Amino acid sequence: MGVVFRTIVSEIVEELVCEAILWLRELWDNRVKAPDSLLVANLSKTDRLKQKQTKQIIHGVLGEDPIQEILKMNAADRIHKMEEVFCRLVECYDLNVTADFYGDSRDSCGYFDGENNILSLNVADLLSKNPEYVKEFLDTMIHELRHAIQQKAIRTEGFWDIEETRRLEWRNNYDNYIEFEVDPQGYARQVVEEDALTFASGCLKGVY
Amino acid sequence: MDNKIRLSEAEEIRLVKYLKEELGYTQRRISQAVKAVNRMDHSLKTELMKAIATGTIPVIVIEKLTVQDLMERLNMNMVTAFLAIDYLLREPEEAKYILARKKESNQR
Repeated sequence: MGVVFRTIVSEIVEELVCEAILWLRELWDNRVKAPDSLLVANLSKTDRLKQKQTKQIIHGVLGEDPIQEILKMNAADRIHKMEEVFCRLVECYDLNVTADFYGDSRDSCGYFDGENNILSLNVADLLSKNPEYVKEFLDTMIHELRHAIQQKAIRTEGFWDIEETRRLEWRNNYDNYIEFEVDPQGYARQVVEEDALTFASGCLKGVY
Repeated sequence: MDNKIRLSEAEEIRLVKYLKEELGYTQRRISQAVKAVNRMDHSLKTELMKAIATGTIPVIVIEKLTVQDLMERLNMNMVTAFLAIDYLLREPEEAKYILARKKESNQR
């Protein structure tokens, strides 16, 4: 377990802006919070306990006002602090996942590679001067960790007390996963994505 | 919005051919995309089939966006761009959130 820095921190000192996403957000004056229509997954008692612990970890590392705290930091400090949050969450979630922080200006936020247990995260949003983008980075990190939880639960009976029916539902979904590039609505409305959106949103409710 | 009329057999054959030959979709992607197109608003579905046949992309503006915008600025293929416009038409708030969020991707 650990964090691998693919990108040298000192090289990332400026904002990495994705023009396409910026254009859409300006066009629609966009908000970062997911609409309620996508937050429809049923969470278990264990999920809710872990959400509470996630909030405690974030506040423990970043203080009572995490976003403002991050905005005061330089790029290297932001990444180091997020490394600490990541390591503590991985421990709390009982995962064996390595992080791969990278930075680029494309419209990819990152992904979880379940075969190799590597969570790749684009730090572009973390380095932004815009608080909404920094919020999105935190949301993405927890969203992708939720995918890691789902995949471990599929492999490991009893993990997080997740019910058999839910494990099967997740496994079937991963076997027929709909990519955004093929069907944007189908992507958003599939079980594993609704679950990850719901879990991350609940973790961050009240954090900022 | 009307999505009750499914693609005809001939239309579905044309769509599958386009997805396979022009977009290089796998069988799994083809069946997901066909299902999604069948769910689309009927008039958009008709416009998509016309665009596949003629190569001419119609100017339809939904939530300040066109199919062309999505293809040029977000690098979407034509079918996905039509599906995104359809999503904006039927669930605008949800679609805007999903479209303006960075994507989970294996592309590095």
